[in-house]
Amino acid sequence: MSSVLKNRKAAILFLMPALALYTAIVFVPILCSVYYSFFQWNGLSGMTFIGMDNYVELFTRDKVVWPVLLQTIVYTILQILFQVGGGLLLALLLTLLVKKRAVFQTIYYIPVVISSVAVCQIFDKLFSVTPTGLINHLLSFFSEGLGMTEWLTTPGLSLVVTAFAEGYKTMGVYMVTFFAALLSVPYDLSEAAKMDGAGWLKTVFHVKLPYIRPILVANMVLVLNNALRSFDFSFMLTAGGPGTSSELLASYMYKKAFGSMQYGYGSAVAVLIVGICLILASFCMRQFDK
Amino acid sequence: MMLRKRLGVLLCMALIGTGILAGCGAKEDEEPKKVIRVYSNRTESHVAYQILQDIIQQYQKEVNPNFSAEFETEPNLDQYKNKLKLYIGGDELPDLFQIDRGPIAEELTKQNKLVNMDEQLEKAGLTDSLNAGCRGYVENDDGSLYIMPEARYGNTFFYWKDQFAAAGIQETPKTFTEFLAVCEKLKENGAIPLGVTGKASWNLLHVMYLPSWSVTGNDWLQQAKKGEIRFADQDVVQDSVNFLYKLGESGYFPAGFGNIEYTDIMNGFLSGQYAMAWSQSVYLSQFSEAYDEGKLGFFTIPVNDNKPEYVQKGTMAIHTGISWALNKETFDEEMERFYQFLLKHYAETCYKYDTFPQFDLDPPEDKPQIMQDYYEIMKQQTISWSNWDDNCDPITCQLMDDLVKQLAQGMLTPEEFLSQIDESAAVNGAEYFKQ
Repeated sequence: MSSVLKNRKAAILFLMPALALYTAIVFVPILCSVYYSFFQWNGLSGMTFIGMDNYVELFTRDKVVWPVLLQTIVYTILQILFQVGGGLLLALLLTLLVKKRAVFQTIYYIPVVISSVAVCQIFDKLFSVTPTGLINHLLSFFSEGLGMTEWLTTPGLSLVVTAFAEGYKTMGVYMVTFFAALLSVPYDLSEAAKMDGAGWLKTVFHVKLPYIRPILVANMVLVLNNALRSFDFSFMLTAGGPGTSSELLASYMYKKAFGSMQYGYGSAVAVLIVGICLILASFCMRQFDK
Repeated sequence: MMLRKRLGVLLCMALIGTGILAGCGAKEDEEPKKVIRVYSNRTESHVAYQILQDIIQQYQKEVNPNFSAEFETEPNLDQYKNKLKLYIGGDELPDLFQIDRGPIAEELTKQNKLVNMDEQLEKAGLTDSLNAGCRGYVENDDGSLYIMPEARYGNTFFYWKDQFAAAGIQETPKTFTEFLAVCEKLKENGAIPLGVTGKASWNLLHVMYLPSWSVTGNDWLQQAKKGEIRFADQDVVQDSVNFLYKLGESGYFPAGFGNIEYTDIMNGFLSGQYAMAWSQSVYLSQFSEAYDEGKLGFFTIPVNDNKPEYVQKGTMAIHTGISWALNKETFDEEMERFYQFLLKHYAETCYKYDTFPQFDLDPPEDKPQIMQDYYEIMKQQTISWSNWDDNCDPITCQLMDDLVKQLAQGMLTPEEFLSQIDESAAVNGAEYFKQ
């Protein structure tokens, strides 16, 4: 067995099927998008080659894409906060539990297995103004004004709520990852810190988190990559609204391609998304390698 | 002897029965097996779906028991259109599908992928029966007809009389100025004046179009969509855009309306949450009881009183829902036989579901009073309803859908709205309609 694994050719052979599949479902569509981005095409009639016109339009004349990019970056930061931060917090709290840990773990993980559509429906009703949703109903006990908060139709607020909804759904995944990582921290280190007079918080910040730093960075890269390509929550919960205040790059690309029937221009936006993801992921991986 | 006679009679009856059954089976064997793919924006709860299903069942019973349909439905109109585009791009157009008048229908017509509906109407002897207003809503610019109206829907404002009375409003508004005044009185009295959805742009767009359409029928649109004239230069367009802006800015819509579905709006109106709603005749059966009890009423489109020279041409918006189209490539003999059957039975089946058909046929006398009263006004209309967005190029159409929500929520001024529309029509419209 070990001789097989040492054999480079054998290793490549075993990797080929997965690589072929990955190429077919990831690289080929990306290359197709690059190809379509040089054309003007409405999806119904023939394609017209226009060279770099779509990119010129994108970088010089499109007034919407750059604010949308900024919103996507803000959304990404919020996702890191909710998913990584929230997941880490839950994992740390779970380590404090001795009994019933599995019960809480399961409860926090349930949103992960619920479909995005269902989660969006739940949040839509929770944050509804007319008819009054649960959140506004509870807030109305404190103040009538608060009870009329338009969570999903106020610029700025809609983006935060959308980010929270997606974070809520996915933080369970990172909770499990961090929990496993925290369990792997040698007990001796925590004991040594305790004997030196460190409290729980100090132990977390100076012992546990540095120890699980590679996991932390890996999770941040994952969240960053997913958030930059996020589509479903923005599209289903607010449709990018009000206006374009909760529009993300992926939903903007979708509207351009399928709504405005500008498949070539939509492909150019898709290429922009891929480029940004590659740059940021490379940067993060270099930081990780350090 | 008696026993033999009885046995003989029983035997004869058995033989006759077997013969009949064999005959049926023979008919079933003779008829071609045909399964059609239907792609519809309407779900099982919508009358258009029910009407089609009913006709298919009638056809199975009376003509071809081997005929059946596989339905695929998508209730969200934007999603529906996107999937339809995918079907078109993948050369998998369904046999029977729904489509709005607009760029997709025009492109399919150009590519000769749709069945000519004029020919089908002529074969069915129904050319003159198709209501002129309904036809005008769906026919192409050159007068040809490649999509068939789904039904005839009248749109007006419906209102709760008790909420009007509580606000001290004695009469329904006759002009748009009075309409705004009514909204203000209702709001002061604690009511939500007008239920609209901001989630689907069509509801806001329809309300916005009223001042313009009721005076001009949107005839200026043919030039404006190509960028030959500016939207902003048309007085009626200014009236329309300012009207919607004023409604939104003054808080006459429900809080958070930008995220409320149309079905929730209608449920809200039916439960009395909103004083008025811009609604359509498909809801008449639900309004019927309250109408008969004198609790609910409707009023026609107010007069655009911004200029004394305006003459009102339309008092009720008649549109035809989302039209039906036939895939020419799969339109074989059996499909044509079914479609001819459908055309001939469509009107009476519509009335079975309390829906006005696109053909000129008065409602039966046993229909609710609200339907009878509504039809009297429908008959008087002489101009077809016309949407700005349906007529524009795809990019301007999408832009209009996005911007109207911002206009209604006060995020855009009327000037900003019109400026962006004009910019898009001048570039994209000019390019698109040049082809």
